[in-house]
Amino acid sequence: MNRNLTRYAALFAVIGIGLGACEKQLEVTNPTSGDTKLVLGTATDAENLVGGYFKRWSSGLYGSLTVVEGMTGVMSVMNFSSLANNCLNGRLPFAGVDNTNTPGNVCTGEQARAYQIENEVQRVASSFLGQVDAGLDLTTSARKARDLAFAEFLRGISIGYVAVLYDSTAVITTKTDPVDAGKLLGYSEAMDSAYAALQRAIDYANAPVTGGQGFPLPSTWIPSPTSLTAPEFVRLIRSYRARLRASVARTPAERAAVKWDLVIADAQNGITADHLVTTSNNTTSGSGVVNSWRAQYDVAGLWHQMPPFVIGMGDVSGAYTQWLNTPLGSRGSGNNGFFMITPDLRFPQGANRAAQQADFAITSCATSGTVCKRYFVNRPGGNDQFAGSGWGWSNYDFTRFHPWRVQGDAGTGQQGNTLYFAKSELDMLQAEGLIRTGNYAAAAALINVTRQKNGLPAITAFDGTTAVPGGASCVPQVPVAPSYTATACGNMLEAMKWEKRMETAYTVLGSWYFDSRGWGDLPVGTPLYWATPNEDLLSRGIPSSKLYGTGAGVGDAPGSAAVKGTYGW
Amino acid sequence: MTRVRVLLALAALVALPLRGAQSQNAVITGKVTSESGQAVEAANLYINDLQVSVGTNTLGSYTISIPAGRVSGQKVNLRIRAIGHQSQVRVVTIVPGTQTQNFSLKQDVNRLSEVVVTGSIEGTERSKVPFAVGRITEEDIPVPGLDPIRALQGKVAGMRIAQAGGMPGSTPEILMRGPTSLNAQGRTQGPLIIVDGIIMNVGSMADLGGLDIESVEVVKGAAGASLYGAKAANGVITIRTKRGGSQDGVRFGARTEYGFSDLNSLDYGQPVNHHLQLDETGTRFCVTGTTNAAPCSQTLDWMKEVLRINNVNADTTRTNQNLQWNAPSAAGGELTNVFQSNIWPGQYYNSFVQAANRNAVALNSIDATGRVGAVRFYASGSYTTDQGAIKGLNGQQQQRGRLNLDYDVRTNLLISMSSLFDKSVTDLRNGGSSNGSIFGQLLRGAPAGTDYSARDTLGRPIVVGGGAGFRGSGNGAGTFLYDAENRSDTRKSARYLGSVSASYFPADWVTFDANFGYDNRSNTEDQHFNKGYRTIKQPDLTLNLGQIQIDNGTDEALNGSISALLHKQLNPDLTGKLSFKGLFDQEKVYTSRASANQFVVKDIYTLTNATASPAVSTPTYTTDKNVGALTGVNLDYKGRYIFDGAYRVDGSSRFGAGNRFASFPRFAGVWRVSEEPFWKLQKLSDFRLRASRGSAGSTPRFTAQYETYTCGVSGCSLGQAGNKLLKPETTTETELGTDFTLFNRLGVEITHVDGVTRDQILPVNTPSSLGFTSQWQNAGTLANHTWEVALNLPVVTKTDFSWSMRGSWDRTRTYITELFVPDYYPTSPTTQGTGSLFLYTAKDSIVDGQPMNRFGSIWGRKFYRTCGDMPGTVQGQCGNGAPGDTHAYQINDQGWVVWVGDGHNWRDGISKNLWQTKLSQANSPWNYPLFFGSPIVDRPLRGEKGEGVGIQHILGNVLPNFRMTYTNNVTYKRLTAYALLDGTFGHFIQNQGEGWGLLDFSSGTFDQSGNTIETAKPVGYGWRGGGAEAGNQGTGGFYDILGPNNYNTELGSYAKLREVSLTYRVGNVAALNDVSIGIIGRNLMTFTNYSGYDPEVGVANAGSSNSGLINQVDAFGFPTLRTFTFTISTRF
Repeated sequence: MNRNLTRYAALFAVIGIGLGACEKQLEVTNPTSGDTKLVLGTATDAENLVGGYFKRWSSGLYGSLTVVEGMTGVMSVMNFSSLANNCLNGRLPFAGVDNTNTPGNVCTGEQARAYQIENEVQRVASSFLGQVDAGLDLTTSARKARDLAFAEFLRGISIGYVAVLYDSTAVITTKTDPVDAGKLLGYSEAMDSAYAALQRAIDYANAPVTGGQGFPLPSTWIPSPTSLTAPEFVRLIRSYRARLRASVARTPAERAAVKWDLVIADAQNGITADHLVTTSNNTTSGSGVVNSWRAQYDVAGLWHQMPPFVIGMGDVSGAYTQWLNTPLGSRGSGNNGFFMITPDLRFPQGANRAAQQADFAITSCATSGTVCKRYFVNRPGGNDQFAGSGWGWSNYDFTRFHPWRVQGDAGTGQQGNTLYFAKSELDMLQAEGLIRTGNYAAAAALINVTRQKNGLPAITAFDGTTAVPGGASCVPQVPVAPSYTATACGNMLEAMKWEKRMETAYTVLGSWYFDSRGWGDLPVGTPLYWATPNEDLLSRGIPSSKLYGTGAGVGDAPGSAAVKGTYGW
Repeated sequence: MTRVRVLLALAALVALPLRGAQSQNAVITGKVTSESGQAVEAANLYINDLQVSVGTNTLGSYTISIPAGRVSGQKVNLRIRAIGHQSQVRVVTIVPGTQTQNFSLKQDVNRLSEVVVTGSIEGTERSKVPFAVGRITEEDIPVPGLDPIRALQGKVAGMRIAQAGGMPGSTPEILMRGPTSLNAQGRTQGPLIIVDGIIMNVGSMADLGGLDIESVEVVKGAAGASLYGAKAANGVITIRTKRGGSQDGVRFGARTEYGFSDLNSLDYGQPVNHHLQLDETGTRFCVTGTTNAAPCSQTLDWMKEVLRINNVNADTTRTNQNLQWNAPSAAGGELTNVFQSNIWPGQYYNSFVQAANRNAVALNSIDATGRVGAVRFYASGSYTTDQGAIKGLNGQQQQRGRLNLDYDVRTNLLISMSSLFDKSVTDLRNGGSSNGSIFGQLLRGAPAGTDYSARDTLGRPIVVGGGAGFRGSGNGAGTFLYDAENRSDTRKSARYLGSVSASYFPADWVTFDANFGYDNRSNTEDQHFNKGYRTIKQPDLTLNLGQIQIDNGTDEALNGSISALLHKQLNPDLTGKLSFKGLFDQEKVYTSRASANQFVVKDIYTLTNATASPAVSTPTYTTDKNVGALTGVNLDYKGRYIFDGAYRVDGSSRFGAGNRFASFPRFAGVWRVSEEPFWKLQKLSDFRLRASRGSAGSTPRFTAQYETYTCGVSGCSLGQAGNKLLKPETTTETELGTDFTLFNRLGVEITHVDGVTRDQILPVNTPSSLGFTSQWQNAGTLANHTWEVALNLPVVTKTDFSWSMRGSWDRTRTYITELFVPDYYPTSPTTQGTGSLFLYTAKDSIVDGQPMNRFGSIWGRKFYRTCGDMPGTVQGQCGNGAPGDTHAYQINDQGWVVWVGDGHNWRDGISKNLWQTKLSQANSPWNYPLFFGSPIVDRPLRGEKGEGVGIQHILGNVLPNFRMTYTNNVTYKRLTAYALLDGTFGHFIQNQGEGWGLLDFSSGTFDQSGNTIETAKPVGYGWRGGGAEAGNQGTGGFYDILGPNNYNTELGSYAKLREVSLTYRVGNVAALNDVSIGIIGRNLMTFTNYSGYDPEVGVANAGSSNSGLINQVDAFGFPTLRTFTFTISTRF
């Protein structure tokens, strides 16, 4: 028996040794994926990693329909949808606000995407900076300045956009351990870190350097028609900083408290022409900058429409006033969309639909290199949709970037240069600062650039109260208190708001939403920012019922929704 | 193995010369018959003490000759065993001369004498196997399946097989007992499948065909599957294909089956009525008014308009006219004021009739079997075609060749080889546009007035027959017949399966076995849109100029094992077996994709002919390596007490580097109670008790352990955090069971199983600032509790007439008992509306009568059904809705609580013009407006936490309450009739198709034909939106943004007449022997109250569960088709 036991023990020992010897043979690599050790291993690989992260940053904001852009469009009454796609129905501002952070809610994907990707961007940028701190040799001071400036820029705009959109976020530094998630900070504190990062980016870009591989930025890092020199890059950074300073404000009070002198300074030293980015419709390889919603906004005649709330302010026919006087639930009855007549040349001209359709046919700019005559088109007959709420129905579709959507630069839709940061947006940021600081004449000069270009008379009264010129045909005509069923010509501030809205409409993520919350123009009850995604809260041990993390709206979000605002809705 | 040993012994005996001195030999001869008096062929008679064994011939006769040298007047046990009959043992005295021993065998009702090889260390009689093993032989498959898995449908208790999609070439899905993985993405909920020793890792089981099967054995869970280690938590199916016979010469067989398949129903109850306005003639539709024109100032004929918009020599269609809705009020257009009650003018068409076609089904095969010298062989070739039932679709065609060889190298050495080559072509189009589905179009987007058989003046099928804007709403298009001519999606695959095994018996106490298997599958999928493909209204160059996408994949797997089995008679009553086994397997998978669009030249479908957007997707390349070692022991005391123990250690490349190995033990035993001397109950025979407790594993998906970055031409982005400590999920089952036969007539098998799967592999969220947002972790436990009952009843067993029945019943309850992550909603099976279908929680508090942690519960909103459902403060205002009832809330004719306002009755909607009235938000107890006559969502009352948001309820569970199968087999002389009824009961389905139908007014439910002014419902009853309902998008009517609710979540119980056959054995015809003819039906009838097209439904390969049997969402899948065929077979 003992002998047998010895034999069996020996046999098991042999098997055990055999299996142990197999352990090494069982190691299999994942050949289609890298890991941190690999991607930050050399200067070139690390540069390749961080160099792809502007595109990744863009992906978090623009690269998918399941991102907050669609929701911001609906919340700021820029857009309307009759369907449940992309969380739009749940965000209808007149349905009662429903910005739940409950796990599994229909908006979970939209809520989380920007937060997760922008946090990834700041982590990668910080890891890269930390690797350089730890001795990664970038070979020349010029190359180091370029790379560090770019990484800090990424940190600034990624933290900045999370602060703009969400209640709170963690801020990762170059010293943060790879497995340390950091503490959640409120959006104001986080934004201070963003400003600091952007300042460091400016400082690195402005620093005297020697050696090769410095600026301009490689063209693939920020895909653009031209590569950015150091001064051009600094101007772009300052432009983003100006936008972030104004956009982070949640309420009129916070907007008023913005350091407008700094905004003006950044705007005056910002981009001198529209900043274009080269986009791609290639979503599979992750190699391109994708702008999903812009393409979606242009899909005429399907499920999405341009509601009259804001564009109606351009109407001079009385249709908008009539529309305002119609009970909310009856607007659009009878399968008739909102029709307007406006002198603003960004809209089709004509006294009736047929005339407006003839004035600007969408097919007239459906080839590469053409420029659409108008920003909006009067939808061709037969493409109207009357599903959903009548107040969302209008006759207009947004087609400003139609050539880009259907043909791109060389015949392939969505592939080519497209507007990412308009000079006019920066001008309007400056104009708002100038108005708020009492420099009305300088503000008017900026506002008049696009007003006059689009057929509207120049503002000549340099104060904050005088109505814009044009008499009965003035633009904009805004709803006025107390009933908000009548309209009146807007003042210089309203003129600036009209210009900014028209120039950024369907162009910049959340532009109407961020401005409207600061201007007090959102429909009552509209959420003023997004809760920290439940995925993040729960993984930190914070219950998701605590919707608003550590920011201003602690708890179940008191004060996190808009009150009845400027236009009475 | 036992079978092999018996054959070898038989061969050895046959080889013995019959010596001339017969008088000195002992000869035992006799005849073996069944209890009905029929000769039993191929019964085995053996005397272990003398190591002799013989078989009976076709007349049931046998002869055993024992050389004189071994004849000493000793008493020995003469044993007899025959498939389907109970074994017998008779003591005989071995004396010189001839003696006659006839046997009459009783039927083995529970088939406990059959030898099974799955789950045990050696082939073992089922009566001595301590866990449930299902065994199906060729005789149990009178209706061949198109693949071996479908052939098992309804034949094994506790094994659920269903078609999540019925498209030809699709693979059925399997759940053994219950799911073992909360998240099976990149893995499977199905069992480990082994065919002739080859582990089937991937690919369609249809590759194997259903005609070469000799037997299939099923072990349903870890208690029996421990021997198979880290891949066997979901059970094991072993398939053995046919082998050559022992008789010299060649015997041929041929079988042909030909018929057709079609849809189960062409009447889905699609709406015939519409809600559009007609002119005064009642024949033409009114065009919507414009700023300068009143409604109905222009009218049109429906089909002429359809042809007008299609009939344009371009790659797009013309823009359609908008049609005026029929609304009684001047304002019109509001959904509460529009009734789907207008009879379609002129002819209307059934879109199912227009799309359906009875396409051919054929299964043809020839085989040859026999023996040449020491080599036995089985060779077969077969061709199958299943074209499906839709015009223009090609279905699947397969060609197969098989060669199985067994070579008796020596009396103690056997080498076997199995090989299969399969080639198939499968049409993967489900119709529709690139992202559509043919049944989506048929059920949702096909207006009754559209003749889809129409062609335009250029001879093209119409590309839009309604659709967006044309019905007033709706997204359907109608390209299902157009696509048949202008789009292709074809997969071509080739597969080679081969295995070699050797068995060596150097002594009677030891056996060595070795096995090596190889599986190679390659496939190419070619999808293209023809140049000139038409799009609707909007040009789309990527389609108009053509598009191509090619996917390539190869899968190469090999596995091998070597084992030793030792036997020892430890004492006269105790037999022991000990086995050792070493195993390995490896699999490499490679996939790639290339695409481009805009062809230069029409009808050349190459990537180089496409000039725009060339793209190559990131290829996938994975390798799996596994090793294992196994030891097992089996002790048999007096044939009554059997103990079984096993211990397996597996190492896998899929485990984290810090946890490379895992172990899987088993302990089990059988007590054959009725073999005890004290057992006197003659009416209760074959009674045994069995118990088994064992473990088996489920490996992580390939990528789970790795930190990942997605790298492309522009750099890399972060994927998931790695986990070096990732372990397999381990299922530990405790199985208890009993089998017995009552009155020698009714066989009963009862099994109870408790299974616990620990270390659930789940994607766990990490704080976003880590950069990685998720990590796969072992983070939960899932438990299954199962009961299985199988009954066998040979009702009549006569020479000319026999009738047998079999039935099974099983139920499984699955619970999440531990979850080490916050409660979460897993990935949904479809993109819209099902995001919160399931909730993963380990909380066991009771909600709606169900524990929250029961796996598979559908969560969603609930419309009030009874007054008692409503909050207590409102119940007093609720009445039963009888005529004269004037409560503010009443139950309407469809059984829903609706608001009608004080003093009204739900019947008054039209007569009192109440349909447009509503209870304002300010006056509503729920702080949410209510609409006359419309259903009410359960919400918190005003002032309560969460007011305004629908309360989530448990609406039902996707896993069935129980399953039942019932088989009848009747033979009268040469005629055999067979039927199998397969039922699944108590599970719920989210009928998303109905939700879409409500959105597009194409739900037959809201067709008002047959309703009165009292019972008619406006379209807003189903879909709340538009006009006065502003602000209540989809949350008042049943549409409900497609979310699960108690309207669209339905009980899906059904029973299917799964298999029917009628066979007549003609006999010999000319040179042909055993000619049989018959008719066969598959899935002929479905009995159900489910309102969707087919309750056998689900979304396969999607969602967290990755199983169509769990993803019970009815989203326009291709339904199971019925087939009806004629068959003729012969042997010669």
